[in-house]
Amino acid sequence: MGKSSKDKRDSYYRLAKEQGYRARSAYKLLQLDAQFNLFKGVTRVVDLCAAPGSWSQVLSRSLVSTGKVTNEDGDDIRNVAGSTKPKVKIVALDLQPMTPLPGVITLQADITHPSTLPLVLKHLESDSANVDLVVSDGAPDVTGLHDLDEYIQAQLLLAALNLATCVLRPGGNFVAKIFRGRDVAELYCKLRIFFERVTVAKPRSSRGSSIEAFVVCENYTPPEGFEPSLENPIWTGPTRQQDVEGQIGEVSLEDAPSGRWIAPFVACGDLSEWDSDATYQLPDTDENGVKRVSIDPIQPPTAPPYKTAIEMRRRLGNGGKIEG
Amino acid sequence: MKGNSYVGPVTSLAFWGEDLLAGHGSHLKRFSPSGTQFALRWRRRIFQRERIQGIEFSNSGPRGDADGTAPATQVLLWGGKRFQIVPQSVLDHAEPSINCEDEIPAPDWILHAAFLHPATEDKTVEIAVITAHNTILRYRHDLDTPIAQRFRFYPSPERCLLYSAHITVNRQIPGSDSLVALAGTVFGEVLLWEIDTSQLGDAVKPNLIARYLSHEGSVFGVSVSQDLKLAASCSDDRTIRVWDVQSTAGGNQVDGCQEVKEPLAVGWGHQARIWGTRFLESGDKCVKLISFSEDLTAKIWSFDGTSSPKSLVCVQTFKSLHSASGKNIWSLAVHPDGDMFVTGGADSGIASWEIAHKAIDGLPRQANTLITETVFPLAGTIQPLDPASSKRAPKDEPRKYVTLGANSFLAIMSSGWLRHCQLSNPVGEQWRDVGFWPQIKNSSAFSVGKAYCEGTFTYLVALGANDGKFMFLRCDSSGPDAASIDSSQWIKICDSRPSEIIFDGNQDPYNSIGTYAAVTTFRPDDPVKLLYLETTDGKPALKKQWPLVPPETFPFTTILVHQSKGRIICLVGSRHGAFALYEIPEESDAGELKPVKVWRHVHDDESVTSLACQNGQSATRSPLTTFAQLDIVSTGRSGAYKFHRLSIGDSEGLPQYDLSERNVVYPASVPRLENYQVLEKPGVRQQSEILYGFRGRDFVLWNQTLGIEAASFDCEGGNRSWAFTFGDDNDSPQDHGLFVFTKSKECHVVRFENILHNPLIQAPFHGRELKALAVSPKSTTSPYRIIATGAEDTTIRFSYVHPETDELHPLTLRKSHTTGIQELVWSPCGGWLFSSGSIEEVYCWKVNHQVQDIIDTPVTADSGSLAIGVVREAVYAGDADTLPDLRVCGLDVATVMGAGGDTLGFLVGMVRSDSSIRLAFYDIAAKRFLTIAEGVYKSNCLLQIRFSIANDAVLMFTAGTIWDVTGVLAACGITGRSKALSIDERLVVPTSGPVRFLAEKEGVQSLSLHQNSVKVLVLVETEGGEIILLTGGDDTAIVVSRVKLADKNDSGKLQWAVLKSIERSHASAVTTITAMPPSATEGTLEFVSSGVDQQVKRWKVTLAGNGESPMEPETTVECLEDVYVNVPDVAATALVSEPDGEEMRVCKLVVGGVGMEVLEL
Repeated sequence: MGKSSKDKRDSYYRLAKEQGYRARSAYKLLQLDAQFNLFKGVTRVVDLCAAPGSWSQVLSRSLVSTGKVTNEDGDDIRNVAGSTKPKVKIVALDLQPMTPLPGVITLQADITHPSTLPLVLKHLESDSANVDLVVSDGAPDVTGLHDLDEYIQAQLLLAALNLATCVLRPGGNFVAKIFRGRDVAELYCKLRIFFERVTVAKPRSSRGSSIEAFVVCENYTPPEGFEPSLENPIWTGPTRQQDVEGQIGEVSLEDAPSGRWIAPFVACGDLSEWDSDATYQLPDTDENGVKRVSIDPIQPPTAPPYKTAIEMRRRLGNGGKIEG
Repeated sequence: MKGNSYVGPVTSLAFWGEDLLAGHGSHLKRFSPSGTQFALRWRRRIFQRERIQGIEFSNSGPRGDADGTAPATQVLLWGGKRFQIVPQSVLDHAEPSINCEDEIPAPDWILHAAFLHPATEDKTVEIAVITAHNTILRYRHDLDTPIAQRFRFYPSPERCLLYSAHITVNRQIPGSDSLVALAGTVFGEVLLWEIDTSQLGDAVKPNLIARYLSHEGSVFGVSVSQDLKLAASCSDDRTIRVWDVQSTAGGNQVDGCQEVKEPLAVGWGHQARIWGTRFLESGDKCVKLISFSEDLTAKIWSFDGTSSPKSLVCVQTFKSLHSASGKNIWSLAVHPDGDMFVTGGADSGIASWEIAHKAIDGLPRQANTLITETVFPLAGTIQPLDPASSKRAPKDEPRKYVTLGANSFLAIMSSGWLRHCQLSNPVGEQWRDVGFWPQIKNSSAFSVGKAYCEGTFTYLVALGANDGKFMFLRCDSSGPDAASIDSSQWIKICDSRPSEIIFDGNQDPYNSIGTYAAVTTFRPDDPVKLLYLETTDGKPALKKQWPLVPPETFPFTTILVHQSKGRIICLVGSRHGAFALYEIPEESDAGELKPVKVWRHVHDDESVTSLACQNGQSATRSPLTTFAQLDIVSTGRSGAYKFHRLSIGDSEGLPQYDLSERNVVYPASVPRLENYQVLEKPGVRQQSEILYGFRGRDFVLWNQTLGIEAASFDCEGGNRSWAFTFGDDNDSPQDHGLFVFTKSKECHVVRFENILHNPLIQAPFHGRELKALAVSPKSTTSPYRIIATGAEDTTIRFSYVHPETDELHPLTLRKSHTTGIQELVWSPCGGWLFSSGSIEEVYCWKVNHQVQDIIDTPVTADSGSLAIGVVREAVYAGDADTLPDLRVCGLDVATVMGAGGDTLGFLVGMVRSDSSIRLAFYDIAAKRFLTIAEGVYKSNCLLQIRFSIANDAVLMFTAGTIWDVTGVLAACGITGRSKALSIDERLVVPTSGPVRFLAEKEGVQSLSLHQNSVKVLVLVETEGGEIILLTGGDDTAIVVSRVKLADKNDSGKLQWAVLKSIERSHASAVTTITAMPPSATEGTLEFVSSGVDQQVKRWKVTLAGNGESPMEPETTVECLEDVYVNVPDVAATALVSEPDGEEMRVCKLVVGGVGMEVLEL
């Protein structure tokens, strides 16, 4: 997040800064929760691909400090437990280092690596899968080759699903970013094998022009005999000789007649909330007549991979021309 | 529905001997050399859904020769999770039979593949593929059956996600079956590993040799040198890194794997992400590689293996053959000879580039435009006639040049010498003194025209002296003969020192008995002398002259004289962008002539640099006696070239002069245009529009037909003495050019050859994704429907679909918008196009169909004379303090007629991202927009607007809401009559500003049709005076709803009801719906929908008859067809109809997004 003129136009961007979120994407999770009541009764949650941490911020604010920390009957657990905080565990994982957040255990780890699972379980102070909610807002570097971008995003989602199957308690929920491209129906179908309800949701804070949406998978019910494992993850390519043997022509999911299923769509976020596609003219002064000033971002933007390239160009001068 | 043609990203390229194979969408194309260009041999579909992302051959050497001594080649093609192996025998067939259903599925995304064993006796090949999870799979494929046996899985040394990989069989060790893999991960690591494929047992362990860590972003491309000594990787971090993959020294050893943090060399220079690299040379002394990038360039890099520190230096950059303002070169292949390479872009273009000039059998392979420069230090080398008269050597320098074709030129020296230079081939030159006249010292009145004599032309050189006298010399390109010059030939023309002599821009051999020229002096108010010269007995003679009085502030820069049946007109261009017209009487004693008409600001306020009749328009075509039309082309330093039509007519005995623009182009690459020419390549019946001028320090030759720069030369700007001509077809070919200029008092000569060289193997289309698509309505003037497309690259392109091949043929493009195009709408008559973008940009374009002689497109046998002229007629003036992000998302246009039924203009509706709506009247006579009404809906972004006129009511539909704007428009004088809008008296715009309409007002009805944004809104008016609304949304639903209009006498509201909601009609957002023409079966409606899921579906809606409850009949919907298109991000569809006997028949569907596909219905 930078300190830019976007302030004047992107209402969620501005709002995020005003409310102290590290990224505007925080509102996507807030709006998803408003629709699906995702945080109800949640005490153990895993946030995947968490950097820069706006979803973890939402989780910690909603579950720990101010939010509705309720049990199944809707009673506030905090009150039951007196003044002490409830036993809420939020574990946030990312490959990138993340600035610590109060109430959140941040781990730098690869979600596909088998060693990550015991690490997560250790921090959850648990030896079994008892997580209520797994969320993932991870997205790849978008190249512009749509089929490749969609494939990589699907692999991220499936990697998140694999980890989720390892840690979720039966009945738990899973929320992940999805690109609604040409093969999305295949992904919906795969998710439906593990969850009772799969819905695709588009929060109002997610731009209408973007192919991004979120799958909300409710009530984790793994098929009988399914053994979750990070060593042999499902649907992320073959991992064993037996996965590949024999003639090609095996029925893969995408070829099966039932292999395409379209999840029902739900738009979330109240109509009175900001429209992320609309252009707003924010008055120069706020409601108290005070002149609006550009707010410093909560966290400086993550260094882009081409940062050094820009520095090199600046150092060489000559309008960026490097060749002699 | 069946896909018949495709434009879109070129994702793979490979040379196969001299031939080129290209992966274009799911299709493989084979190009063969033909002359200096490549010709398409065939195109075949390889995959059902995937794009071809890679091509490998079983033989690294050239393909098997005809006598069959060399082994035949198999070609391995892959894309996504599919591959296919095609033998040479199939590819060599003129009509190869390849079935895309024979594609072989892989269990994961393929990043690279290699042949382990080419076909053996039993026709079995073995291949290996590496997947995006860093896993190698081995296949055995029997060429006779379409099934491959996937029989070997090799454990991965590290199962991580990759963006790039490369596998090679290590042939460095004879007999080895070792497979070397190089993998670029999403985390910026490069892994080198090896596997012994000779072992079939389970014990095979992958050997992770090295891990190269230093990239700061995802690794998008990896490649290995031929000798397997070096590897190169390129990344999101905009660098190329070269690694020594042979050395095992250095770095830390971690579990037997070498961790290397220091690359051999790092290359910086690309402005965006780099997608791939290839090694060109990897000797001990010199390493060269080539890279291609998102920034639309390819670069050659080299490093000297011995120097220290080793840096990768960019030695050559190749740019600007792909669509400017686009993005991404996706593929690259180097010719086996190493002297040229080809690139494939996101813009569908395939461009060829020359690495080094290399003659093959005496002919350069690519025949690129050659540029050679020679410098002559003329200053001080010329002595006066009598050296004794001056004690000191006089200062002398070239003052002005006149070029005679592409091999010869004249220079006038400041001393008064006239010199001629003959350039011979190969580069060499011969200087000759023509003569010395003290009175031409420092003269600037020096120019050349053409004199025609018995079907051939000669040059007519005019030399002006400081005393107002002129000498005219006739010569061919070898220059004037010094011996024949008679000093008594000086003719008095003007009383003061002449500043310039300007020859007639009309150089038509069939319209010239004599030659016209105008002489200007340094006194701006002096009349300009128009001269008429004829050549008799081989000598030019001044026959007539007329004094022309210039209008105020009108320095002449260029003239055009047209003569027909005794009437002579002279059109003049000025230094301040104006045109003036003179009627020239037959005899020259008529006294001073005043202009009959002046047009100001034709080229803004910039110099008019050339004027000519369009494409040699002859006098016979337009007799000027009573009424005339003359088509003119002009260029200006405004950066535009324009086609004008000058109409001369009579109205009640008074002559009427009208100048209208037919076509206006701003070739952005040449901001200071000097001239326009149509050239024909020798031996090819193909004409090209060539423009020249200056861009910054460069002299630029621009090929408008191909949309590319033909050549450019750094001459340090155009504000110096210079001259340029093309070859004259006598002793130099048309496509050669000669540019002479002075720099530091020296004469620089630059020769251009092969200006018409076409380096494009496949023409480019939009450089970024298409956002809007509109097909011109049925028109009486054009048999073709013109397809206008607008894209994120800010350009609007005009094309047409060839009726037989279904291929898209480009006509022209316009790049005026500064933001991505949001919407395009044709006027119902097809004469105007309205376009919208961000920052409130709304433009009106006049589209002139079949403009004769406009060669804005290659004239081929296919396109015939189809050409269009496009002029940006008006710009909608938005608010002064427009929000920078204010997008005009939706547009609609309705015709407004006068009382007499004549079209006065259009009602233009605009909806915008700040929820505001504007209604404007576009006045076609005044050529301007007038805002007549405005309103604001809520605060959400509005995307769609459609007008409907019926029963005297004017309805405006914005997505999900109907507005009755009858009253609003009536307040401005516009009323709806049956199905049209008209103005009885005149348009009324209240002095208080546009009429405001309110969303809360009565007559506004909203119905929630979709859960999220409505991506498309289509109105279908039925016979019964009802409107069927088809809407598609982000929520994947298509909703069919019906609006029943209130009767004239019925004050009741509109009745609006949803007939059918097709939920989950597509797997993702529905972005486009196109209604089919009314079907013969009453009560049915067919439409086509598409969306981000890339499926095109054809639906049939059956509306139940008007029974008891007419608003709620039982409506059924069935999906008739469902096909996949290779166009991601589908944004728009449109139908194209073609003549079928007398009738026009709808037969094609154009689908646009990232690329475009034409489907046959």
